[in-house]
Amino acid sequence: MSESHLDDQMLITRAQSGDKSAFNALIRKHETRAYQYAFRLTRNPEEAADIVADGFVRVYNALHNFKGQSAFTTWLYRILTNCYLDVRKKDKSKLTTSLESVLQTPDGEVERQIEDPSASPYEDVERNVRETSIEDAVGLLPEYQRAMIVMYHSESMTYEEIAAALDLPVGTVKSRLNRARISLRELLVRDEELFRI
Amino acid sequence: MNQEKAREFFSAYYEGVLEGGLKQSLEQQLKTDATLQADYVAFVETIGHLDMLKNEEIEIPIYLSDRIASRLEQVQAKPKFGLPVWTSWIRNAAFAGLAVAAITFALPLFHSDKGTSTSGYSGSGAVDQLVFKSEGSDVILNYQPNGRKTIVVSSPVTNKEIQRFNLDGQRLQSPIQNSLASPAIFKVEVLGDKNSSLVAVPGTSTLKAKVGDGTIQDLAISLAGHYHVPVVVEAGDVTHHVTWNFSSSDPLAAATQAVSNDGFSVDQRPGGLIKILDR
Repeated sequence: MSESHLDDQMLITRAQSGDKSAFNALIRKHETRAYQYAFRLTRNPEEAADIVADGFVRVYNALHNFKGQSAFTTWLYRILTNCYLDVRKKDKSKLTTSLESVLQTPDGEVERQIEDPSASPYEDVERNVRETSIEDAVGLLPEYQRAMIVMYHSESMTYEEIAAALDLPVGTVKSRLNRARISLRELLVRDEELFRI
Repeated sequence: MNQEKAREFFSAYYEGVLEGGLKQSLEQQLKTDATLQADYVAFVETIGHLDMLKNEEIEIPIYLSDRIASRLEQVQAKPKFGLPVWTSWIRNAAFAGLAVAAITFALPLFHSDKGTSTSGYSGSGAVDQLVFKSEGSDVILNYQPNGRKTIVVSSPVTNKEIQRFNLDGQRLQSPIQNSLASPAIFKVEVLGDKNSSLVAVPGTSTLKAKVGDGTIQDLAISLAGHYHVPVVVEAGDVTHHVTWNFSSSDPLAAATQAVSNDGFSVDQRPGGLIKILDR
């Protein structure tokens, strides 16, 4: 029987003991699922493959610390999500002004408005919905919301599994997912003529 | 309840987990607020479309495995101040588990009482024979040599030597412990002897998996991890492939079921130690 059919914990135990074939079997067993998750986050094959490769490097470096308190897949999702967020953080750091910076005004705090020469998210949505692609619309959500939407709706993870993967309380996951769904809906209804659902 | 607050409960309401009072309040609001009602209808439609995301077919690029492999190779090639290279990782991982054992191996009790006496371990009187006894989840290795002998403890996975005992008639008594979460496995042999023993020592956590397949060596690790008992294998072919199902709460029964049709026998020693032998 192929090693990829072996139980994760067995493979991990063997890999922790230095069995390289067990580590390779672990990769073979999970690379497809890892790639699908990464692709759903990035919508970019090259970027997704890089995230998966970096993710397995992190798994490799930290495997001896893995104590099996959560499922390996939950741990892998956490690592992949962190790889994805790190890539996005690097992209953002190229901007001279933070998109998240806040201006203090006499009326309180307002988000800094930054002129973006590229198409607005809504223009992007308009373009994307012409292709009737809800996947692309998901791609316009902020990273954390996107990760949660993908985990719940594409990967069929439970709230508890998402909470474990993102190291957040279950209640926070639920409220943020609700907000993500509403945000997505708001993005989609910008032009119902184009996106008829 | 205003519209914004009401929207916070859309998911819970949709999933049918909104508590009584809030549910009633939201339903009342939905009845009287057409905008909110339209929002909720649109929300439900969105959920429906989101649930179709899982049907999306994603093509796996043919270069994916190569990219993972080459990235791992890059890590191996880096100097030690960076990410650990594979070999040092092996050393760290294997020896993290085995270090504890190595420490205890380093403090064995040597008894100068040559000959066949010896008490305190099962099989007393057994000369030139490796004897293992369990103490909780630890294993005590006993060996009474007849003359000069060398005992070598190594990792059967990496084949790296962990500890070597040069004996000149003294009786060796050494604990094998594992303070890691995962079970650890050791190979113990007397240099010059044809046979060796594998010793699987449970870690601090319990392996949950009940069903599996692999070699006799894998079975020993799984038994130790699942039932939290030490396992000793004294068999000629530890690479023999077997399948197991730990549905029984009794490790002896589970081990017997796994190997009984494959030319092995199993017994359980005082203290719980499981022994797998050639029949």
